Amino acid sequence: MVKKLLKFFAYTFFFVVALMVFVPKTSIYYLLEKNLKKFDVVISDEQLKESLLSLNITNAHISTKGIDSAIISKSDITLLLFYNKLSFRDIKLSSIVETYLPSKIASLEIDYSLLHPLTLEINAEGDFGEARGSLHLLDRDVSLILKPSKKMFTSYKKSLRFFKKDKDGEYTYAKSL
Amino acid sequence: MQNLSNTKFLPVLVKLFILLLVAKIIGLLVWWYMPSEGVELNAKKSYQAKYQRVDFKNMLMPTKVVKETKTQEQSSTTGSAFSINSLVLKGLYGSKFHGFAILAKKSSPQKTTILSIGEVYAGYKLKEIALQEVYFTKGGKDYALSLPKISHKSYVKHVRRSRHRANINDTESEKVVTKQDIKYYSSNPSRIWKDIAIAPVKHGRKIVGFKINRIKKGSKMAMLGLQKGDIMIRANNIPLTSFNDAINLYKKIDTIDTIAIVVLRNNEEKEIIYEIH
Repeated sequence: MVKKLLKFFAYTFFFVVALMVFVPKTSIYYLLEKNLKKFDVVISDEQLKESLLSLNITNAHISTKGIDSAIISKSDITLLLFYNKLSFRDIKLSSIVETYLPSKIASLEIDYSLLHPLTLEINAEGDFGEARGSLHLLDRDVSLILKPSKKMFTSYKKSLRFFKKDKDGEYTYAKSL
Repeated sequence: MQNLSNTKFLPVLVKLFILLLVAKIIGLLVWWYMPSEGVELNAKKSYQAKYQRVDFKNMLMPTKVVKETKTQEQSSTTGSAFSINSLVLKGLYGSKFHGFAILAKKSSPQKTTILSIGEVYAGYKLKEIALQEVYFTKGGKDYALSLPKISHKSYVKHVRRSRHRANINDTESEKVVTKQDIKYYSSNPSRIWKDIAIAPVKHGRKIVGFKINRIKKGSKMAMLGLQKGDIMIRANNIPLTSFNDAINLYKKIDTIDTIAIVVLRNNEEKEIIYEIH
């Protein structure tokens, strides 16, 4: 019985990996772009490159409601159904956003795993400091914990007002979408 | 072959092959039904006005212009030589290979000639029009002629005098903005939102302009002639139909020397022209 079960899992794993290899990642990305357009988010000027299990995107210009919001130098989208990861590197926020936040974000990672099927894990690092958080998919609750950098304390004190300082000295932010 | 068919791995290999085939077919079906191209943002628009200090009085006398051009062409063929430095560029209209340049000799700056691309003046053939200058060719060599720079003080004097003479009623239609005013806001964009509050005006889902909901009295913004309730609908003939249009104008303000903003005020279109010096 155990042997049969192991066989089943092994075949399933093989099938999922094969599916992810053969699935046209660029086309799925285009579908994602069309869905983002409904929320007035447009990704432009990007170069796409499919690898075996992931899609690499370089030089993506993000605009929200027609406003240039950010440029992401490198992005990797890995979808394995049971484990999915969106990884963004070298993000330069627009000068408009710069009023509220330092413009350079070194990395932003969003993970989804079947081990935690109802939450997205978020981790980010940049001139603003370090942030980790999660998005609950059913309740649509976002929670973020920020470890602000010195720059945030000196130049972006106003933005820290959006966060609550807890007993441990961490800055937390919670919102229901 | 017999050995291979008898091996216990064969059914496993067949199963794996079938799984690969199914995965490939699903991949092809997904490819068939998914979109074949993504979404791109519209091409960026240029906010540089296609005109530069043109004296339109000259354009109202086409016959004289043609005559003058012809006589100049004749004089060039007879061999009279002019240095490019003896010419003054009074104005230009258009871009690249379409448009006109208004020229005069330094010796008689009041006597101007309109030249279109390909035409010859004093032996110089107009080749190309740029933002601030025009390019000529003569004898296989290229020459550039730039618009003269007008100092702020002299420009203000000129505007005031011409207003007085022409008895212009609408004293708010032309404004002079200094680069310092621009720096005042560009160095700290949050000041903008302290002085002014704007919101998009929509017809259905489409943005048709930006309404000024609040403007701080005595602020630099208020001095620009904008009023509460104005709806900004165009900037340099480009309709403001998205946030990006408004932001792009703000971003490019350092490179623009003329902005013509059309606002809807009391249901009437009003053009406010800003010369940035």
